[in-house]
Amino acid sequence: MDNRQILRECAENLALLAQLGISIAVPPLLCLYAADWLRDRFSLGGWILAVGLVIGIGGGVMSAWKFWRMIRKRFQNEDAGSSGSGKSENIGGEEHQD
Amino acid sequence: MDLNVTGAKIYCYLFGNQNLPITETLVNTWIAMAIIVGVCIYLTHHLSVRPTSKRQLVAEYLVGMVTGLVHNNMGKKWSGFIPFIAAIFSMSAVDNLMGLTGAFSPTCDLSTLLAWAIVVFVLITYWKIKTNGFGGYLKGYFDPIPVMAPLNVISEVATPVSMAFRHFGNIASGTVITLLLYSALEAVNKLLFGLIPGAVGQVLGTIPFLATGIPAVLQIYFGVFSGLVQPFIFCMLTMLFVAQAGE
Repeated sequence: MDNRQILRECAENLALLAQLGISIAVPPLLCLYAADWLRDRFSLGGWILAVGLVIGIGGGVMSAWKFWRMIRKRFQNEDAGSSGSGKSENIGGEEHQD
Repeated sequence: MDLNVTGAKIYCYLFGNQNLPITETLVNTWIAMAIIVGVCIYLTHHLSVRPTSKRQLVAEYLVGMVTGLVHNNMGKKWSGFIPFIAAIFSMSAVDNLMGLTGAFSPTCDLSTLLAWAIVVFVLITYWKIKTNGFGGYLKGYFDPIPVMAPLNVISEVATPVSMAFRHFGNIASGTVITLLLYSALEAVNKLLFGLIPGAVGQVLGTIPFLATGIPAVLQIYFGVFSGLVQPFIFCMLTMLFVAQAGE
């Protein structure tokens, strides 16, 4: 693995890490904003903000979980790809021996 | 000391309609598009099968770079995405680097990033429906249990919005921090040279000695480094989400 590839992998992993954090933080903010809009629009009580916050936190957890699942799948695919290429080399080797 | 951090200026209104403003963001985006088109025309002029000119080598290197990025993150079957990723990357990079010239960077406006986020959201939804069918797409919202449907909807919307927020936050915060540092250094400059009595102190205080050089380091980070890393992150996440939707 050359330096350029290492640098690219570092950048990719840092980007994924940063996005994981943001994906947790954004849904509560969006839901609070929506709850505040609803409160003003329909003259609702402060309870709507609590509901918005709870749903937002749930959405954040769900979002982070989905993102985490996607990253895990990506790494699994990468591992399978690298072991798969090794496998094909072995198969090639066996064929050569035969 | 007056310090103003404002959004994009409004130059005029289209057809006099107050809902259709021509903003600094819009004009600078057009300029960025013109720059990209100009560079593309320049680089792809007089191409030959065997590259003889430096500009063709540069063009081939850039195309190869984006092709490698798409193939590494999405796989070779997504080669049709190369022009889209190249367009988003170049647009974002040129927009960010415009801030170095003192012009208003279009990516400092959340509207620009939210428009890109809508494009990403449409692409993700399109590939999900194309892969799983409309029924499968709707069924995905009830995964793992139907009660989770509202949370799934929120997380679905939050994905592109969070990408837009992160990009906007990085560029806008960089602009604000650089502006604050310039203003602070000018104030310190005035204070220090103000200690010299007489007209000499007053004259030297008006020349921003401290504001030349020191902020350049910060500009390199926020302007150049962050300005080129953010397009890379935005494109990489777009590729990941779209490829996942198409699996």
